[in-house]
Amino acid sequence: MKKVKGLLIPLIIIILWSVGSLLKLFNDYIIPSPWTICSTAYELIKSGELVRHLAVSFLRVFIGFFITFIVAFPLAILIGSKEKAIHYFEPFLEFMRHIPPIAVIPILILWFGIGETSKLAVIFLATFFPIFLNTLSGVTNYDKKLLEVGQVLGFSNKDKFFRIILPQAVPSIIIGMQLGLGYSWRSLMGAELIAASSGIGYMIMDAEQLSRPDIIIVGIFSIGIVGYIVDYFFIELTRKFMTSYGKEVNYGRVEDTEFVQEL
Amino acid sequence: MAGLKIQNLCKSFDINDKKINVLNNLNMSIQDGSFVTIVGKSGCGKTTFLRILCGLEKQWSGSIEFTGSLQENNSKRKIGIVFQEPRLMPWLTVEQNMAFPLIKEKDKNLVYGKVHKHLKMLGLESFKDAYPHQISGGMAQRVALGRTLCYDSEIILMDEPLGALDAFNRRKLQKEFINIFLENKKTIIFVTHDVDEAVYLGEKVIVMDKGSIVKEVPVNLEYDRDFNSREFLKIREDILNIFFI
Repeated sequence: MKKVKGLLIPLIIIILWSVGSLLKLFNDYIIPSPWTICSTAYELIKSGELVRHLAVSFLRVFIGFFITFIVAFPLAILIGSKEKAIHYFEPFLEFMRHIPPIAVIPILILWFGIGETSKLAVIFLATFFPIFLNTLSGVTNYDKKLLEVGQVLGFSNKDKFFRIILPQAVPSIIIGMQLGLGYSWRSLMGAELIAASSGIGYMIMDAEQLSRPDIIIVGIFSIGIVGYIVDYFFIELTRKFMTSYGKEVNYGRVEDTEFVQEL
Repeated sequence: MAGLKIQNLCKSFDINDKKINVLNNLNMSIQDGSFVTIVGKSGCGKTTFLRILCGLEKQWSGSIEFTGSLQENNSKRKIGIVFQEPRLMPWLTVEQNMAFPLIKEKDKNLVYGKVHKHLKMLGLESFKDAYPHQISGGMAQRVALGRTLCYDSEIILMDEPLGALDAFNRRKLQKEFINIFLENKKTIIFVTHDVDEAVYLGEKVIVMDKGSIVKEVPVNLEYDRDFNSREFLKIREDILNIFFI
């Protein structure tokens, strides 16, 4: 039922759009009809162009996200586990956090050219903060009362961190990764629109030069659909991973829980 | 097993540059294998006292000595505590929570044996795979007790563990505490603000007020005690009189 409800708004938009196109309410050059979009999408898929551009963009996101994660995650853990370390990093990180990645694209192009490196750098800048800050907040805002349990049980600092603090941070880390993934997509599109020779952003920019609004709209829809699918698989994967480790993805939340009353 | 000898224990907190004494020259001796209850009003320092004993409070003065067997090995003494709230790890099941103190233990059969022995003892076998948010408050507190028992400490501290429970669960768990004590004969120091509970459980009731011990009252009554017996009511009244006279 939830999924059906979710389809209602897109359906209304498509109906209004179709009716408008049929009644010639919109200029076909500005808003092409849904059937023009469908046939363009079909052609782009058939020729393999859409899949090729999507694959290029997807690979960039995947590599960029992976590189960012292996840098941001351990750094957040390191800073989070050393209470005083944050004082050294805070001003710099706060400064960097306010700079939108799109604003540094020109300098990145000057440094790295329009090749892959500048795109990965943009993804890195966009993805770093959600992963880093959420992991950091997860490992620093833990329940101190639970830590006291480890203290009484004579746990070493390492055990306290890995057995009590880190498991509490997992939901926050997952949220950071999910946000980071979304930011990767958005920033990459920005980078590809400005300077690229392949990728879905490039396809959109190229279509603008050729005055093909239908291709632009197919490109926009592709970004939305791929983003949605990637997010869906990410959540599913996390859920599977969590249960395979005997953990519940919903811990800490109160909804959807069954209460077993005392016998 | 171990007892305790506490001498001149003092503890103060600095709040807004003002020194507040929480414990003033506390002296007491707790016998090996005895059940001692400490009763007092809120803020009389009883929780702080337990926190010092289990190493959660630093910077205090005085001396705490273990008595009883194993005395030469003082630094290795194990003290377990059951807090007022269960403090279970929400990502672990009941069984995993009870095995939590044994994470360093290599012999998995030993861990399994210990955990299952206590699961059975506390009637938690059928809930071993449940998560803390799926069980009731009384059960969660029993899991916390099971975790402390699995830790196999020589002294068990209890900081108002029944404070948040309803009267029915309270009575049920009080009986379980007595059974555990009679079975294991471990030293138990139980803090409460409920005089009835203190007299019902303790072999000795220590009455605290404003950071000092006001009186030590021995309770020479057999377990299971009757709340309405004349002797019980007499002891209860004696203790209440300390606070209200």
